[in-house]
Amino acid sequence: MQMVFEAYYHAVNNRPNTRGGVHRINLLPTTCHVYFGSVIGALPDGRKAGIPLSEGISPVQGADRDGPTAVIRSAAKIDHIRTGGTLLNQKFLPQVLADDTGITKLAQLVRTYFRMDGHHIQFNVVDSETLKQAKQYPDDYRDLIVRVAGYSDYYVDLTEDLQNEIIRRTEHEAF
Amino acid sequence: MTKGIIFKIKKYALHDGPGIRTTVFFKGCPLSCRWCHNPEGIDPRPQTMSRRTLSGKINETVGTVIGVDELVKEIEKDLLFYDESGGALDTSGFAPPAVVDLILPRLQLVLFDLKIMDAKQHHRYTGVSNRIILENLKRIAGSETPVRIRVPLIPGITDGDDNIAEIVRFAGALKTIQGVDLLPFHRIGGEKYRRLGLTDNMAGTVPPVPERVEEIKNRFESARFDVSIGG
Repeated sequence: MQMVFEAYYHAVNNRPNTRGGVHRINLLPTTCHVYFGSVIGALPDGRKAGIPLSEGISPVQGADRDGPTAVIRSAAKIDHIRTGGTLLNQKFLPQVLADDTGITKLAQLVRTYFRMDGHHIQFNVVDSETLKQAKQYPDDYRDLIVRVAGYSDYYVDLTEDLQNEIIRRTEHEAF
Repeated sequence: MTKGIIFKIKKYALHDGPGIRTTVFFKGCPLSCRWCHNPEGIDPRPQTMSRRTLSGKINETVGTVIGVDELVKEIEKDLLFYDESGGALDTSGFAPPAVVDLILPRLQLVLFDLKIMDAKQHHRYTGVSNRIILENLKRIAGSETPVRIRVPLIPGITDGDDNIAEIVRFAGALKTIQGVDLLPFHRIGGEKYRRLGLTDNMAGTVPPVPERVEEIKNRFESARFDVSIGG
């Protein structure tokens, strides 16, 4: 991963752009990972053709098997300081934040990531059942707001691809 | 080199003390509580646990003999998270006092299980006397190290009014008790008994109703303890 980062950084950083400035790198796709995925064929890791790529520096969907601390340690191996921004998405179920203790622990997770020079982490707090219901019965879930990438949006207003994509993001529910 | 036997290392542990921790589960618990949720932690030798998969039954070995250095190396992977959580010992309290004295100065927090106050009942349901356990708790509470007492709420065994009153009284006389964690019985461990080929003595027991748990919480709170449910 660090080799890929270095290759990307050295290929892009400081190259002149058309407006007299220079290019910098970002590791945040906003929603491009869905589009890029749609035009990329099957990959050796088992990803099928047309499926969204991972979001920014988040693990490939389903690949974070060792829990949030492992995800954070891996993401922090990237030198965030040399980028214009990075995106790490984590999704939690509401139970995790049901009380002050849970909220404190989430804050500790964020602070630890920042102490490792992590740049940006964002959370979705919903269960996938709710999202599936919302997809099926949008009128009942008009108020459901989710963080998509660099922004939040009404879930029911998203394209079906993006809706599926958010359902697929790994849920850390086994606490 | 010193070696021990463990059966699980849980990263991102949120329910075994403050903050984000790594919990190491040792095998060879001297107690054999009737309600044990981790029965694979009792036998001090590696064991076979079966698991059903789509392609049939597979056997897994539970228990890894590991050296101190190797274990510490694994735990240190999440070192930065411990800045905000610290270290702790979660214990049944059943150990020679000399061992307690040896490790006590190195501990930041002790999570101490207190189950049954009546000596006979304790022996009946856990297989050992509670004399050493209570002595060790007094010993630890007489030191600088803060203690959280963990009380499993097992319907019909530990959750009776008398037992709770005795625990409140005993803990109330100790100085360094930082709080009490109530751990209501749940049935998640039941499946492990099947997988180990053991009998689940608690099959059919239902978890305590939330009202009862709340009642017990109030008992501890009226004695000025900081109480959490579920650890």
